[in-house]
Amino acid sequence: MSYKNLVCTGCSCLCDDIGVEQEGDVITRVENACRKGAAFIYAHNINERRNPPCLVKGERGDLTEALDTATQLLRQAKKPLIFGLDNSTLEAQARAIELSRTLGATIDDCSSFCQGTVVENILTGTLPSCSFPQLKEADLLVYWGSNPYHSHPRHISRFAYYPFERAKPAGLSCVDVRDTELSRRCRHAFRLLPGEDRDFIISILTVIKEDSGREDARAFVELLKKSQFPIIFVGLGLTYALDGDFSLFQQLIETIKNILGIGLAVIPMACHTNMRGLNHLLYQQTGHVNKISFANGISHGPQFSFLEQVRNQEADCILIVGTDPYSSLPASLAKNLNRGISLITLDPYITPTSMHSTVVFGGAISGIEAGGRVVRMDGTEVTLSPIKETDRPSDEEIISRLLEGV
Amino acid sequence: MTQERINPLQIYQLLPCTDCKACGCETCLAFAFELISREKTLADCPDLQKEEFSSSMELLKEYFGEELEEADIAESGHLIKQEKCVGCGDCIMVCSLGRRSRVRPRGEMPAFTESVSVLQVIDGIIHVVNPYRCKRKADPPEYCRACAMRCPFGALELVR
Amino acid sequence: MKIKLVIVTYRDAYQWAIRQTEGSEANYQELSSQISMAPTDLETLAISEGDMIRLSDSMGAIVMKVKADANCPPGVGFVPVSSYINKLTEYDPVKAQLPNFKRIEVIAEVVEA
Ligand code: SF4
Ligand code: SF4
Ligand code: SF4
Ligand code: SF4
Repeated sequence: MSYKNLVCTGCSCLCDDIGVEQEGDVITRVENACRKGAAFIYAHNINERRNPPCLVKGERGDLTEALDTATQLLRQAKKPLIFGLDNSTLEAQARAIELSRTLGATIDDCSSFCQGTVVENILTGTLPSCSFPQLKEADLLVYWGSNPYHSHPRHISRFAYYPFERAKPAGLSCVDVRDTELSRRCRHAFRLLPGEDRDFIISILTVIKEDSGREDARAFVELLKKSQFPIIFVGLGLTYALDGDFSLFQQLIETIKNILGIGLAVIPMACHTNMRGLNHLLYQQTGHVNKISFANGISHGPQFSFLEQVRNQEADCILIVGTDPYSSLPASLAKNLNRGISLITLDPYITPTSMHSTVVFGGAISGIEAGGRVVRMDGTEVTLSPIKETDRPSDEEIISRLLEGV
Repeated sequence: MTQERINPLQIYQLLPCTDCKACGCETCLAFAFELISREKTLADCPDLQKEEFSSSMELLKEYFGEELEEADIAESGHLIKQEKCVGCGDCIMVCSLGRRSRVRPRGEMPAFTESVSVLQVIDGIIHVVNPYRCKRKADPPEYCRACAMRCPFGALELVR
Repeated sequence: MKIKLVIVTYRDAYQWAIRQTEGSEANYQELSSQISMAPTDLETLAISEGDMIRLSDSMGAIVMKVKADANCPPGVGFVPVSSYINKLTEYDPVKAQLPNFKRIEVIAEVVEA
């Protein structure tokens, strides 16, 4: 069987022109997806996935058994926490929010140490943003703290730079601490030292206001002045350099708007497929994009971030959906997950996290085995159409049944 | 040789520069061009095998090391270094034929039509799918190197 | 010989793709345990490309293979993000809101073969 126009869920570009050929149960050809996307789609062939999907205390079990154990764990928990969901569909995320309401649980996702603040600022209107089709009008694309060629390989060719017939080719620029494939092809590439971004922004501000400052900041302002509609793609590099505090960056955008008269737009280079989806849902329901606790009504604060919860060993039962904190957290923090916290993991693959979990649900993979809707990094909704028949339950189904159970 | 795009002059500087003609080329520079187009191999220059050129040889081997089969070079002259390509698709979009075949962000353009583009990403790596549509194969042939020039990873070379 | 290094992690498409490929655990580890450093730092440590160095901070210590990168500023090392380098990263809300994935201060020293 061959399929066309599938959506790749390898990163939050969500390229929707993927072709896949399948023979029996095995995927044999992937068209148009980048190296990352192709590897992601081929991962469906992994042998491990032919085994029964659930694990209870290290033993292969069936779904009902796993659901029973998980429900019990969640019911007994005093401070349950739901974490992840960045690779699940909007439908599954909505169910998970319902579940945390019912449980009075805390809910957070990777965006609390990723691009959550940028998305929040965009949703509240403090940072101006635009969608990919609007990039047609853009005449300067600045990648700040990210190298799309490695993190989102088709970002430039399919969404930002090449797809539009612009009257004049848009300028391409980057601000980065590394010398990257992108910086080598940009005429104006700004190299900073690690942690210098704050300094650079302050310098840009003084150049705009007082016409004095660093040489490179001057060049940056000159570049901006030549442009009508510049876009800044905020990468993780900038987020980490600013330590998640975008007030200075907002000031920069405002100054550029007020003094230079240039309307700038910002798009977060979100890494996870549907990180922005959960941010949107939580924002609609609670007014904040992450770090929410439903224990006493709705409360929000840094103490509800996954990092804090794990560091202080607050949570006693964590439902982890489609992410692998054992690999992605600092090892010193991940250690805390071993200390008497019961873990329930929903992950299509075996990961270090699932090996440490009491209950593991091997769910269907969004995009290939399970359908639904997801939100692209620019805020546009994309519909996934699954190609494979599977008896594995989707995240949505598992969470719904957990919800029924509790 | 760490730079990504290959330059005949840089190759020339690593050769003996004696123009001894033993390789069958008139000059060492001509030999450099033939190395790039993979018509000659490093073994064809006797002087280069000597001890004094061992450091040159090391660099050259790094670049031309792997033995190429005729089939590795597409009809259109594209040589693909599979291990370097990340499938970003930039090369497709700088080619006027590729651009015509491409999808725009949803709803703005028709879907990708394989029959139009010279290049396509398959299994995450660039492939030459329609070599005869390349301008270099037109009658009369047109000069074009856009795809190879624009590959950010140096994964695409045009060798003839 | 010891020097101080600031490590910045980054994403690498090849490494990411290999992680998703069945049976390439060894390749993934190899790609995850490479550090790019300035040639001047290699000189200071009196090592050459391909040698191993030991990186340590208060969290622990790991060993990495050195790659020379002329575009790397002195005192800085670039490492692809993985669970391996995460042995050194830390999260301390007193110092910063976010874990120090992009700014890990370590001591680098030569490993005798
Ligand atoms: S850029 Fe992202 S969404 Fe597009 S094919 Fe690559 S991994 Fe998939
Ligand atoms: S054999 Fe070697 S030295 Fe002689 S002309 Fe050819 S390339 Fe030059
Ligand atoms: S050959 Fe180069 S430009 Fe083309 S897809 Fe591969 S990496 Fe991208
Ligand atoms: S050489 Fe020119 S026409 Fe041929 S594939 Fe490359 S860009 Fe297209």
